[in-house]
Amino acid sequence: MADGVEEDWPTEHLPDEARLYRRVPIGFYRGRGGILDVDGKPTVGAFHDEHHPGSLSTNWERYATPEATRLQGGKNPQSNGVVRLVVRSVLQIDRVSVRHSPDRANNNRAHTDIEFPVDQALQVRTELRERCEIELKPPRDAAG
Amino acid sequence: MTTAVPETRANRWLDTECEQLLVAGERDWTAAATTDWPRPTLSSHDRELGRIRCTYQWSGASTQAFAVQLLILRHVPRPQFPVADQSAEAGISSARWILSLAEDWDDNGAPAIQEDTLSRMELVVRDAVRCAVDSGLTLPEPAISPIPDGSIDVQWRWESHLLAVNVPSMPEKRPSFYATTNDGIHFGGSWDSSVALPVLAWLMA
Repeated sequence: MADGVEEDWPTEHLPDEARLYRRVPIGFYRGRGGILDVDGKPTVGAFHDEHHPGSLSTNWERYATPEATRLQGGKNPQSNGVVRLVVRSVLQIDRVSVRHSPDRANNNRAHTDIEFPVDQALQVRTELRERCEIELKPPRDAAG
Repeated sequence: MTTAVPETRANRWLDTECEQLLVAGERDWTAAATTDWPRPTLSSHDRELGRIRCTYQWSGASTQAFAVQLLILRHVPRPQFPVADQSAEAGISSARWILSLAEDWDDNGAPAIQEDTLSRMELVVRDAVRCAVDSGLTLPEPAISPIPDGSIDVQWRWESHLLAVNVPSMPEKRPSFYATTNDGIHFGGSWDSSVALPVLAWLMA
């Protein structure tokens, strides 16, 4: 924003090699027996958004850092982890698309949706977990 | 000169002898060739992947030799996992913690996981394992994860194969599954006892 005039945030083309970051709350790092494992990948539930069926919010690296993504939400943002996905890899999943969708309301130019048919949610979250890489681990004392 | 391999005979030999021979040791395994088949030679084998390649060689009247090479799958022991029913029960008991998740456990308003959903998940796991055991297959311990819509995902993974089953929170909805192999083949659909066996057999083939 400059002089009270909002900058235009057009929807941009995402290159195949673009990286996407997704914030992962600490609750998704509890594995077998409920034991917290901050060194591993989060569980598949991290790739499900109950409020937006058929869509998953991520941040495009062009406009967001992993650390900014970590702090983007939750009751205790410092306890979040961040995973990384590459657009090319995401598009290899059947019937999945990726769309840059700047979120003016939340002042997030990086916002990017991974979109898929609702009835394919199990496949998508399973595959996204397989394809994601750990970008930022939750802090070891995050269990709180 | 070409001669068709008597397929049924080959298969019968493979079914009855192959696994036993490999267990006995590869030095002895050529001894069990049938009388009218030449003794096979072992070209290669990979116990881990469950594969043997062997060659039968004949010398015809014209003295021109010809050979048949067979790639044998599924007749050697697969990597050993813990006994199936034990691994299932271990997975089930290690998943009971998810009942302790309070509402909003995902920081985004997720409901708590209901005991009824967990019970149906246990039925799905035991059903799948029973199908596997009945067919001589073994499953590793499943990974069991809560999903923010109140449902539960169960995942079995072995080698590069993966089978995921989702048990919804609403009892009237049927579980769904997604299966994939290391060669990229995948499929999914509704899950019940009738599809468990063919899906498992296909994945383990």
